[in-house]
Amino acid sequence: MDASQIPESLRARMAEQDARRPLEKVRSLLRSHVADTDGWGEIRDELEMTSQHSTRPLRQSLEAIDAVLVEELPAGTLLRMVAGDAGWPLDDDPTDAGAAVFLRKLADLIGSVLDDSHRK
Amino acid sequence: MRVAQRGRAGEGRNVVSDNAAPPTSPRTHEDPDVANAIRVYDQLGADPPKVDVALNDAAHSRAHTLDRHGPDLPLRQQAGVLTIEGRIYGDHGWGQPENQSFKWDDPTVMTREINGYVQRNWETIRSDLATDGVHEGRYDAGHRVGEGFLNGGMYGFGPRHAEYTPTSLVRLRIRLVPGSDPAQPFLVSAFPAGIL
Repeated sequence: MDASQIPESLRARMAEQDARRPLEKVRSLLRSHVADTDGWGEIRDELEMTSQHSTRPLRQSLEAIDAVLVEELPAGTLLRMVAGDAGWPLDDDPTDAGAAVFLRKLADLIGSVLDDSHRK
Repeated sequence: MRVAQRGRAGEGRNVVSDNAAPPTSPRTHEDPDVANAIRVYDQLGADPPKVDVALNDAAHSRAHTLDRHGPDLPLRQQAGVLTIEGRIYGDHGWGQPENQSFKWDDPTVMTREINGYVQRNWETIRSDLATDGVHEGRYDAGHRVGEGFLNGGMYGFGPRHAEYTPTSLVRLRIRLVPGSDPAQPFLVSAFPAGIL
């Protein structure tokens, strides 16, 4: 396919999406797949709907979570992201460490959805 | 999402990140995902759809604007009743606690805000649906749109407790109907929010 066939606004949006920093990619993932859900089952449903269209956004999200978890971030960044952007309850451990535990579990779930998608 | 073509896209007000970084895995024109994105983008068309929330929620099992944020939901916590305040605590009818829980003021505000956003931002929504199958948006309406509660203990400053606040903030999520061909969008949820 000739790259010039890509509509300009679509090409610009793709470039903007790809240029986001990992932190912004994870925030977008949380807002689009976790916020306003009612538990892990519903999050999985959201992830599966995305993977049925394209696995690319989930693969990018996995890379972004891995990057964020090893990045040196200002204190409270992960907590605000998970408790605020995602609205997820971290009552047992409302700290950056508690938020990191949630993100690792989310990454495992994304990996599982991607594995299932590749088997189909 | 009930689709009745009308109007045209205008200026967007959604929040856009400015913390850009070099792309980690740039798309190429050989990428089959790009070909699929172009196909879906064309199918969605240039004219923004009109959203009828009641029809949308009835037609799509994953849609829950009215179930979780409808103007008719009771605001204050009541035993044995699904309420906006009760969601903060994971009360009756809610699967787990949430850190924010809000409802629309009335159906007119809800319909106007959702459709205004879709009209203003259709080109971005259309592109996101084409590439990712999902679009999330958020903006400040600049006037009151709803009311609800934030969890005052969400950042570890004490136990979970619901703090009432009116709000002008809006968040929403739009997806492609799974398996739809031609591609069709639907509104997963749109709601007043305490945090963008």
